[in-house]
Amino acid sequence: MKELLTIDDISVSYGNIKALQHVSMHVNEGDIVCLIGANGSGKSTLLKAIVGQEPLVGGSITFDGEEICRAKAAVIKGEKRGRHLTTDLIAAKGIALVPEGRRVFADMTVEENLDMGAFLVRDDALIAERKEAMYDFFPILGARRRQKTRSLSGGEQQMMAIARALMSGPRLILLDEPGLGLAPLVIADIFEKIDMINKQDKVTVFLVEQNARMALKASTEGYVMENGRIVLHDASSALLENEQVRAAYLGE
Amino acid sequence: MFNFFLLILIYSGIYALMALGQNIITGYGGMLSLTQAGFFAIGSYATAILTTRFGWSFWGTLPVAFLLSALFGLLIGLPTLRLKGDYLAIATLGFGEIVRNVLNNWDSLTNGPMGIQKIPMPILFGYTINPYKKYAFLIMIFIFVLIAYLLFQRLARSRMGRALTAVREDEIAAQAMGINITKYKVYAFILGASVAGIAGSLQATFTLSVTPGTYTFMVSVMVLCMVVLGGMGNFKASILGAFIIQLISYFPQLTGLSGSIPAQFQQILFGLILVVMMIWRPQGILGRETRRYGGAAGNGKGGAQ
Repeated sequence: MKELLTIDDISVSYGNIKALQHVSMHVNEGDIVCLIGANGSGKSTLLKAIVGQEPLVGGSITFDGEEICRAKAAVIKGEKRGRHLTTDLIAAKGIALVPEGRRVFADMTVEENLDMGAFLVRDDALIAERKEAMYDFFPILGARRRQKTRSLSGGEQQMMAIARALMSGPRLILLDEPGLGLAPLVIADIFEKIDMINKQDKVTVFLVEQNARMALKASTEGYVMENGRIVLHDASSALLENEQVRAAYLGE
Repeated sequence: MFNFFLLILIYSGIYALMALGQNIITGYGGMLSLTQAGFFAIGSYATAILTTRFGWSFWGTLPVAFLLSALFGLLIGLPTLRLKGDYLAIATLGFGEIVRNVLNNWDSLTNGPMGIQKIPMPILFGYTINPYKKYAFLIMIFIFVLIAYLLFQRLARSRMGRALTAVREDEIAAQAMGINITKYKVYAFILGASVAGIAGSLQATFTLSVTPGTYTFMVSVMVLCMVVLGGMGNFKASILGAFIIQLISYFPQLTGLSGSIPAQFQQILFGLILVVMMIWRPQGILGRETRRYGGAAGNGKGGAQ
C-alpha cells in the first residue's frame, strides 16, 4: 500500500526540552492510524510539526511523495537546505487538521464555519454540494446550520470541527483528541463517524488520542509514544492484546 | 457659529476616513494598531511638499499620498505583525512618533517645526474648492468618505473579509483552513494605512498649512476611540464614532465655555467615555455588523453580490 505520510527521524525542541526525539512513522493511504500516549508525551507536538506549526531540529516529513518539512541542519539525501511550508500551504496540499479543543469560529454560524473550511475551494457549486453532504452525514449540524457555533454542545462542536475540516476535500485528516472532554456515548458516536469518513469517503485518518481503548478499536495501526519517542508500533488489534499497553493504557 | 459647525463636520469627515481604515485593521483584523497619525502625517506632507515645492496639483498628489502611506504600511506591517495585542500597539505607536520626529527635524524637506504654508487650494474643472467657503469642501470630503465606505463594505463581504474574520476569531484554525494569515493581515494594514494617507492629503488642503505638531499620538488614540465607540467591525459605526468624538472634542468651543473648561478636559472625557462603554456596552454603540458569508449557492442567502 502507498505511504501517504512519512515522518522520518524528526526531532522537535522547546529550548532545552526535547519534545520529540528521532520519531519515525508512516501512514498508509486509506488507513486509520492512531497515536496513543500519556499527557505530555509529545503527541500534540507531533501534529503541530506535521502542519508546520513547530520547526524541526532534525528529520523530515513527506506527504504524498513531496517533502513538506525538512530540518535545516540535517543532511538528508545530500541536501543541506531546510524546507518549511507554512500551515496554510500544507493545508492546500490536502492535509486537514481538526485541532485540539476544536477551535471552532464561535461567533460564526455552523454554515459560515463550513464555508470557512472550504476557503481554498473556489467552486461555489462544489461547496454547496459538500455542505449538503455534511448536513446529511451530521444531521444535527443541518438542524443547527443557522445557529452560532457558540451555542452548540461540545459533541456538536466536535462534529462541526470535523465537518469543517472535510469541507476542503482533504486526502488526510489529522484529529487531535477528538474525544477530549466528551461523554462516552458522544465519543462512541464520533468514532463511528470517523470510521464512516474513512470507509465511505476514502479519507486517510491520523488520530491522536489519550483514550487508548477507543483509538485502538477504531484504527488499523497504532503507535505508542512515551517521552517524545515511539516505543511501540503494531497493528491496533495486536496492541490491544499487548501486555505493556494493557497495563499502562488500558488499566488492566 | 454655523460656520464652526461646518468645520466640525469637515473634520469629522477627515477623521471618518481614518476611522474606516482603523476599523479594517482593528475591527476586522483584530490588530491593535496605533499608527493612524503616522500615515495621516505622511499623506499630509506628501501633498504639502509636492504642491508647494514642485507645483503639482492637489489631485496629482492624492495617488502619491495613497501609495506612499500604503508603502509605509507594508514596511511597518511586515515586521510588526508577528506581534500581538499590547506589543503590536507599542511597536506601531513607535512608528507614529518616528514619523513626527522625522518631520520635525528634516528641515531641508519639511521645514521643521515651522511646517509648510501656502498649500494651494484644490481646483476641479476650473472651480476652486475654497476651504474658507466650506460647503464645496464639505461635499468633496463626504464624497471621499462615501467612496471609502462603499469600497470597504464590499471588501468586508469579499474573500478577504472572510479571511480576516477567521483570523481574528482563531489564527490556528484559520491557518488550518488554508488561510495565509500574514498575507491578509498585511493587506488589512496597507489598506488602513492608505486611506489614512488620503485623509492626510485632504487635511493638508483644508488647513492650507501643515505642522508636525498636528500629528501627535492623540490623533491615533482619537481614531481608535471612534472605532471602539461606534462598534468594532462595523464601518457605519466608525463614521458615527468619528462624528461623536469630534463633537465632543469641540464641545467647549461649541458651547462657548472654552474659557472655563481647560483643554485637557477632552482627554478626561475620552477616557471616561471608553471606561463607561467598556462597562455597559463593550460592543460599541452599533455593535459588530453580522454578515452572511453564504459563499455558495443553494442556501438561499447569497453572499456574492
